[in-house]
Amino acid sequence: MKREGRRSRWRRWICLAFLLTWPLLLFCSRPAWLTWAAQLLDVSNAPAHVDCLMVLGGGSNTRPFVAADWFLRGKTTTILVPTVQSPPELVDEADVPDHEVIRRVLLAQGVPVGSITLLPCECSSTRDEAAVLATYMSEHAGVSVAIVTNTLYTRRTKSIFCRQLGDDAKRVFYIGAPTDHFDEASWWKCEEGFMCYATELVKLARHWLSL
Amino acid sequence: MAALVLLLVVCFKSQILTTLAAPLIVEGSASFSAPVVLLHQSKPFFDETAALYRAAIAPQILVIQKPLSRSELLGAYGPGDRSTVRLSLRGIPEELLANIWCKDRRAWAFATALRTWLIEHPRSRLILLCERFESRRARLILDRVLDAEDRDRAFVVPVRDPLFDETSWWKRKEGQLALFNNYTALIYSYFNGDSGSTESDLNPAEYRTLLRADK
Repeated sequence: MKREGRRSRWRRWICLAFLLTWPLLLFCSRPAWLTWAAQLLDVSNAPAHVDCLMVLGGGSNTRPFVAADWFLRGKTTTILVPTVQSPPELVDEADVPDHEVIRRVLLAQGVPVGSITLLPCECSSTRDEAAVLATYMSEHAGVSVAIVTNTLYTRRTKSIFCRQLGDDAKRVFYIGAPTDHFDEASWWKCEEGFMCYATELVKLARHWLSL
Repeated sequence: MAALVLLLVVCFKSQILTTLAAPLIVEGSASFSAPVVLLHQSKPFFDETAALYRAAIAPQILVIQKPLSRSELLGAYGPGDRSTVRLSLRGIPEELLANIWCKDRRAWAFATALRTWLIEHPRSRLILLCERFESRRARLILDRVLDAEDRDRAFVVPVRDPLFDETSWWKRKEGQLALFNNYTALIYSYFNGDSGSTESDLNPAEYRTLLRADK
């Protein structure tokens, strides 16, 4: 009886030690697993050269600069810009649409106007952009394309584009544009980085659940 | 028992989801005359500001201005200040507008700028226009940054989003994202306070150097 009482007491102490230790270990090792979680989101596979770059809507402070840099270094000859549609309730007459901001940044960086192609059909989501690219690639057989988006969005973007493009997805690559002030190893230390990565992890989970 | 709970959830789904969004909202209305502060420069905010001006509530409009982004530095948004142009189109005279400059682009920078303004205007009150789901967090930030005697002089007034509100947020992707983002930001702000880099964004040449260094 006494032995059993001692054994069950030991078991309780071991359980308690385990319950207290693993959160502590998790907390102390958070830089490692938080960085790992962020690295999961990056599937960039930039090739040496592509026929076209496609700059996804949003991120006008990063993506067109990356696209312009690629063009000026001779790694591509054409930059595709999808037409971005915003809800009319949120748009002022005097507002400059996102695709026009991207186009102006490209021009200001030295990309010739003839090398920028505005894709028809308005897009309000990444899925719409994938559909527009699918149409473009069906009209331009054999063309290779690199999608320019922010590094943390590349995994979800790739999943969406692969679903739309089918066999054409083999000729599509992904270039990640870096963000200012935070990256995979520091995103949780500032609000902006935390919001970007936390939102993207949830969006990715939502996307996987909808497949 | 489980079936009953499920039935209740299904029957009262709207009420439950509305209650879920309620903690994010600090109700407030602009019923007195005071300078109006624009936290965001978008159509719903410009429309609300114009309405307050027409109702003789806004004797002055203060626009929160952050350091220019890379694309703004290149003039991608066109000439002239966006707020001045858009508020002028709504009949608000330019002389009523004033800029409140933030020294960096951190989320809490606006509160530091407003603190300075309130100290310089000891007898004035402010009406801060913010997004509806953001209002609780805006109040939290103001309470953390402003001096105790100044907190009662800054009023948070939420602006209704034309696409969704607390009674319909779950029907649209924008509403779902807004709920998640604002809860995450509120919790992060509550526990971490003001965080992030005080440096400006890299200018176009510096960003290009960063890209080339990455290769």
